Amino acid sequence: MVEFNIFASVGTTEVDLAPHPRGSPTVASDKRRKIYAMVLSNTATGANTLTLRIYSGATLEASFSIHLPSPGAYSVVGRKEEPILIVPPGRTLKAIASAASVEVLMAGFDE
Amino acid sequence: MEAPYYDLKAPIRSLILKENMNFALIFPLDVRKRMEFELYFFRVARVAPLERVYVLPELAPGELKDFTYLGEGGLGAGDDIFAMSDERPYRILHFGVGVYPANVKVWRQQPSGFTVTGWSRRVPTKAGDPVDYFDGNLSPFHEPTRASETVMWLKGSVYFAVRNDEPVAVTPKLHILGAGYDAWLIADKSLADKMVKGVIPCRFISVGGLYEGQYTVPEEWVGKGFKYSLSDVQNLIRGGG
Repeated sequence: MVEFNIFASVGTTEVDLAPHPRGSPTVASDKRRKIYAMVLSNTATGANTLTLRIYSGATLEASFSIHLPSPGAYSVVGRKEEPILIVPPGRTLKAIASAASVEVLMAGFDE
Repeated sequence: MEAPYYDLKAPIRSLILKENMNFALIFPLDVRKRMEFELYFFRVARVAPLERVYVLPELAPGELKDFTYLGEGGLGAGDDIFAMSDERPYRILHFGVGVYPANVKVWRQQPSGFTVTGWSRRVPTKAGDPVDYFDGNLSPFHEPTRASETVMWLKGSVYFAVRNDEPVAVTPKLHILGAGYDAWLIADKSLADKMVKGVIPCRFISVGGLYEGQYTVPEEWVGKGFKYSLSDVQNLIRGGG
């Protein structure tokens, strides 16, 4: 099992959140993607909202918006045994922001 | 002592033979109806550790490299790292293959063209099939196991196929760990019979799994192996031989 990072610069156009390097934003059909740490940097001049979205094919199954009040960095750190986000098998993780942009760093693994 | 041989996750280091132990390589002659096999018997004269880390090219998620040899210049390039000298017909390599990272799958062919299999399929296993592989969970990089046990001899060949099932691009590594033997070929039928019978201890090794196909051995071995069919084994168990 390889742990990985996800790096993304999220603006007002939806982007894939894919493992680095050369990973797919869609989780393998026999695995779950577990994210246990996330660092967000809001580079917009004012408040911003980052929305994480989970798709099954083209169908939006779940979304979660994170309000980022002012320029600055925010972190959510869990543990490998207690991930903060689990993406089910075959699902795709994407993100969009209300303003440009939010820099996203995640740490996770598939199992 | 015998138990670990049946444990697929037994560390290969616990299965390496030492000087003065006997082993037999089992090759297929007829695995359909007559069930006849050719066995070559050896006694280990000398042993030396065998270790190498082979680094594969970076593979994207899901990328498959089809069967080829492990070359000094990369996959299928340059000299085969298992190439053996004509001057050493009684040198046998006995090793396991540890895999990094865990979710890289490895298929083997031995000899080349014949996929190592434990299944019974009409169509031979191809690289990427959901059977007949080992990965880093079954044979970890630092502790290669029985599941990847392989022998090599002069005139033998072994090909590998790999697929990256990790979610990111990885640079897989294979840890080849085991021993090289200088061996005495035992060409005495009565001694061979006693080993088949179980009177003399011997480690029997199925070469290449349950494949059926052709194999080649060094000229020096020719005529010194022994064929055993069901009737031969029945006779030995009955007390004959």
